[in-house]
Amino acid sequence: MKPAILISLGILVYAIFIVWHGFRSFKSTSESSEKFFTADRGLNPFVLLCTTSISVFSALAFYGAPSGIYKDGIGFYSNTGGMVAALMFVVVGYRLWLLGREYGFTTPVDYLRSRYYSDGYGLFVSAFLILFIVPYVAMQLVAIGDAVVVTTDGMVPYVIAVAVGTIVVSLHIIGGGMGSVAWMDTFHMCLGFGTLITLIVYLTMRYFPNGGFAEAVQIMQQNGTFDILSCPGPNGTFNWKGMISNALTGAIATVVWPHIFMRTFVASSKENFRQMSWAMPLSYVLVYSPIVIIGAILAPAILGPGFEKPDNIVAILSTQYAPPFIAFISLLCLFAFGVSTADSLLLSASAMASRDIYLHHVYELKGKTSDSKQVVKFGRLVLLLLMIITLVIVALKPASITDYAYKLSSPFFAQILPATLFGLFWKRASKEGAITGTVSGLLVAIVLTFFVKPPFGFSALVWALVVNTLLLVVVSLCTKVPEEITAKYHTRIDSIIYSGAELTSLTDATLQAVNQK
Amino acid sequence: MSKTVTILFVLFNIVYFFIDYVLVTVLPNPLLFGWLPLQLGLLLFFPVIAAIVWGLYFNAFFNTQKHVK
Repeated sequence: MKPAILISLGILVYAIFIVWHGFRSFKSTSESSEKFFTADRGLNPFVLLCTTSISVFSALAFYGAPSGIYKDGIGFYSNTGGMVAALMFVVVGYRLWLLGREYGFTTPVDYLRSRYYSDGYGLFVSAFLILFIVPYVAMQLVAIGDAVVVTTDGMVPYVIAVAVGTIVVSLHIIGGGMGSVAWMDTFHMCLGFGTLITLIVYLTMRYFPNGGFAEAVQIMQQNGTFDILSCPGPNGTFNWKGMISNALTGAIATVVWPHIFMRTFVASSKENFRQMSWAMPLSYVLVYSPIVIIGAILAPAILGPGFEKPDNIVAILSTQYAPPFIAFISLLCLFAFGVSTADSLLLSASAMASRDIYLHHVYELKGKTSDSKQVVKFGRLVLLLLMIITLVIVALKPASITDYAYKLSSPFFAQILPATLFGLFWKRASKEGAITGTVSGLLVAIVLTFFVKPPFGFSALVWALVVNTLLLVVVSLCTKVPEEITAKYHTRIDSIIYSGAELTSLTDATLQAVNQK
Repeated sequence: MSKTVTILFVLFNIVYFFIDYVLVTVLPNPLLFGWLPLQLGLLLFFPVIAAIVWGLYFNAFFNTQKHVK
């Protein structure tokens, strides 16, 4: 049988496995929105580590990072920001987790709406987060579709590949919610790491048998690609300004990406954060090192300089320079990275649409009651709708993977970073400050992304965050925060962290109240 | 957590991120072990040291949080 047919059959089996895994728990997740959206806040440390890490490593990490490094040098690795996401996850995440336990928060909007005592701000944030989740999800599916076409030698057409990918991802979440997503992410993390090691070992032993990486680097010195191994790189992109801009886009702001933000609420105990502090940066190092070695050493040494389609270097290396088995597991690795990010993001969009828009605005604000099953049903309907919108976008297949994701989604998600941080750590942060900061940050990001070149060599995101933060601080200093907000979000949480006050049972009461509505 | 430990932790992070984002771009770049440029080595493996320091600090911090169930 032809390798392309075997690979197509393998993809089909994998797709069926994912859908089956999601629908295994369809019945139990239909019972409660808490179970569907937060897995009953019971993820153990290993599962939380895997689901958080691999949700950050998107298809962009597996395909985009080697291609970015091949094009602009090792400075592109600054998109991990020295693993700052781990530090942020513990520092910010522990407080958010306490708030989630105390007040029953599930989504970023739950927290921002309550901390800034504004339903309008909550609605605005949920709308723009949902709006910009779609292109990021689409990017994962575009990468998967492209790779399937290359790996199966065109036997599976692009449209069929992205349609199957979109439907499989959507059905997986619709079936099992957060619990399924987290467990599948754990499987994907192991699969992704194993595949990367296999790919590197094969390529190194096959093409550089006499010296391994040393032989490859020697070839790079001769073929004119050696600049890739230095900063600022062959195009001068990664000087310190480029490094900071890239770190902000790819790492510092990841804690407020909606799907990562939601993971701060689903930890089963504080022990998760204790272990995340060292395990998360190490997991980044373990997964990212092979990715960097592919883009910085193996690809330039094997493919040489000026490769025409750098976005496809991983697909080309695994299909044209390796046997079909390696090509297949590489494709599975891409699925692992792409699906894990796509399903997590879609679930967070569904949670915001159903909890923050539907439940809050249609029921809670009008004093009506709704049952938890209805919220889950609505969440699943939203997922179906998002699936259709995503299908349309991936069929149009826009530009280059890296540009698409970085230019549109990430800078917009990042605009809730100042409001989140100041809301946690600064008592004076007010509603007016948060609204002014977020709206102006979004405007600056739009203008500098699409209309005006960002000045002084910094990215649009850097300027947007500077303006956002400055306005938040200045406007907050001119306005007042209600005392009950300060008591609830600062005095109370500080008393738990620093004075030994115990968490109240408000959580259970709040969750029960929400679930009974 | 003592104030000194917290200050040292903050200082470590300032130095660490300064090296990782800024200093690494201007450091000389000799090849280590015949294949690993110094800049790449720092970018890849310096975070392991950070992971150890963060792990130690937060282990001590969460020891003060025993009342949080």
